[in-house]
Amino acid sequence: MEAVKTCVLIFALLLAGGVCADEWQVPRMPWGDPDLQGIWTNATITTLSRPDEIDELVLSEAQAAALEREGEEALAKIDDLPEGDLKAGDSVGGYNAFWVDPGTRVLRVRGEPRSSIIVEPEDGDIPYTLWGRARFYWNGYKMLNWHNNPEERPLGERCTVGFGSTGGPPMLPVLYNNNYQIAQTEDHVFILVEMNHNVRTIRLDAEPLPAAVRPWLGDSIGHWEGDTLVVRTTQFHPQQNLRAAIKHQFYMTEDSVVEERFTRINENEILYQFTVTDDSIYRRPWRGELTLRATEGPIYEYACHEGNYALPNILSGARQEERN
Amino acid sequence: MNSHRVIALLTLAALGTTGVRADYEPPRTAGGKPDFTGVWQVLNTANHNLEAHTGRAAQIMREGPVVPVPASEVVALGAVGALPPSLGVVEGDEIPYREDALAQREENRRNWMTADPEVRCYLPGIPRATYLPHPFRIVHNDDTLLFSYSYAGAVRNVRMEDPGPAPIDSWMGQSWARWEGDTLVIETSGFNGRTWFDRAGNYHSDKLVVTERFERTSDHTIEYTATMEDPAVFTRPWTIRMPLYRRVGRDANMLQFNCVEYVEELMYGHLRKEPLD
Amino acid sequence: MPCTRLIAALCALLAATAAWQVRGHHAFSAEFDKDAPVTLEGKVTKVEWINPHAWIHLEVTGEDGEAVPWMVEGGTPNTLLRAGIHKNSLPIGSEIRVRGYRAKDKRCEPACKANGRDLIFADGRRVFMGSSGTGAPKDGADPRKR
Repeated sequence: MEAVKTCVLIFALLLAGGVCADEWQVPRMPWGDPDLQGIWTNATITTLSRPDEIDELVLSEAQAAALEREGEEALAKIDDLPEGDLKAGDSVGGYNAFWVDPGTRVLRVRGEPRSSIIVEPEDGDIPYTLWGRARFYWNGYKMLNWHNNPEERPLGERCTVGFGSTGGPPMLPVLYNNNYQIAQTEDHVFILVEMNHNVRTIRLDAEPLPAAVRPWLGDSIGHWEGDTLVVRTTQFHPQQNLRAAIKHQFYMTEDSVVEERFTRINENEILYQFTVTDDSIYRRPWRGELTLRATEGPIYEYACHEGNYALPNILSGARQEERN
Repeated sequence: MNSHRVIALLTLAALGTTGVRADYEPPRTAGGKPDFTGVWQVLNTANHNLEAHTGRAAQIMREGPVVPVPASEVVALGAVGALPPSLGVVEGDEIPYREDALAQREENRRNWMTADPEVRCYLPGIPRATYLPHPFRIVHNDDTLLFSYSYAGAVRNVRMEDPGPAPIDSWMGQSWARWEGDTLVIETSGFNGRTWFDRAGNYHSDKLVVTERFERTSDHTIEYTATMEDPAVFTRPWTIRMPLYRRVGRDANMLQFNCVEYVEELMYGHLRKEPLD
Repeated sequence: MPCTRLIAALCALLAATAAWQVRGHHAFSAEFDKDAPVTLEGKVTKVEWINPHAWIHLEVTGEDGEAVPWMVEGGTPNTLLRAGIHKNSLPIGSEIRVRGYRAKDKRCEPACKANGRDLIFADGRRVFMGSSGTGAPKDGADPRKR
């Protein structure tokens, strides 16, 4: 009788654990690590910080649908300018809508619609200290108003890395080209970030680089915790601090630490979680969640510096305004 | 003939051009293909000039009272700017230029400092990316073939089947891979015609098609060839051949050479509010 | 009181920051002059497929009948590629009409510059809209696209 009880218990446990069910299993590389390979996108209309008018992190499906409709209408409006010459002084945006690809949907994490990428603090905003916020605004002000030297311009404009925090870490969605290719070997994970053809080289179970070496996108070291890839990034390039795009604006320092967690949760999704820590500018670490969704490849070339007319135009435009 | 001499001859006969055994058994992917994963680099000066050349004082020279001397822009570099001699890497020693195209090569050579895309940190194209004096990494498994270059953060994600013509022209072209036995063959086309082969002005048009062959010849070497076809510039296809060497130990940490930031003074310095002298 | 001044300074910066018109790669207002709208009609002479801004070169006939070279900034070509557009979608020699704003740098060296707010073929079709692709953003939201 005891044996029967034990047997029932074991089967119940197996069922509860999903072992007996015909469930999705994480695909694996030949050496056993979870297979994260493929082309992924994090495009979404959800922003990093929570919009002022929304309090809750989790949205209802109706709320999400309304936001998606608004996004669609805003995009459609771009191409709806009246005929005839444009008016002086109008702010009508840079170009037609077909160039951009900001995503069409509200972020869903494990199917749950979200109002912000940030999940902690609860208010969905970056917990700057007063000094941290001052540095953020000061650097934002410089970006908008300083055109004296190429080194003062934002990194995306200089074609050193993609704009905003597309390459991260944390890797966040921007207005277009939100595409990433993951490739794996036994001792490395590589993430090809479409903008600006940057390859993040994540060394598994490795020692940090010498302190004098500060790569763009930082020095990333990873390890597997069960089926989750955990990546800790430190030693950021000293110029990679302001991350400004339409859908996120924030400030980090060269000594910020980012921990990312990649978990493949089904055939088409990787759960991407991150924590940013920096006592010098934040009151507490802040945490975000995104979903990387499988998408069609390939990753196309992102030659940028090779035809960077924008940077010299901005500098020479400023020189000409000074003369006038 | 003594026995030592026979053994020596037999050993030589068994050696390929790179001095390794022809029956070398490479590490393989799960699917059974030779695995090219690793950090690789050439040990030659093909990037100076693909063709055989004698040593010279500088990449660009001017007339001197007795012999040519370094051009004024580079004279301060002294021995650092001098070029060692090389046997060249071109099979048959000479690149078969059409006559009009050869004149363009000479023009490129004269204007090296302002015309070579490498000086401005532009993407290097294929095959130049392979033999730049910088390492590159091959990430290879049965589903993925990715080349990540230290120079300029260049990258090449090689397709595993022929994708057809490239939708637009690009700097690195569009690459796809196939196998001929244990040889990895990569065909690249869809170039924009703005990359060069070396610092000596050797160049091509947007019609270039490059067929590269990678063959593992030892744990630490790849025998590499690249055949160039470009009827707009060359009279016939031509091939370069060289070994690629694996970087090991600490050297296998490939660091970034993101030279974009290093050329900002060169390219935009004159647009500063207060230009430096 | 220094503290009040700090807060005032922060508020001023906040106001400046609120005016961010970052459209991604660079602020529109940093490169272009919103007080100098321009409408151009001309023949495409070259397309540079560069990221994140493709540049379309045009030959525009000026009032004196002379051909004036213009170059017009578009967006990222990679988005177009995903929508099935290729280099023959805007062939060299096409007649197009462009509405935009001139660059702040008006020296026209080596070409006059503007942004391409709207790109339209001479027959009224929108450039890059008549392709074989759906034009729908591919954000992977639809698993059937896998």
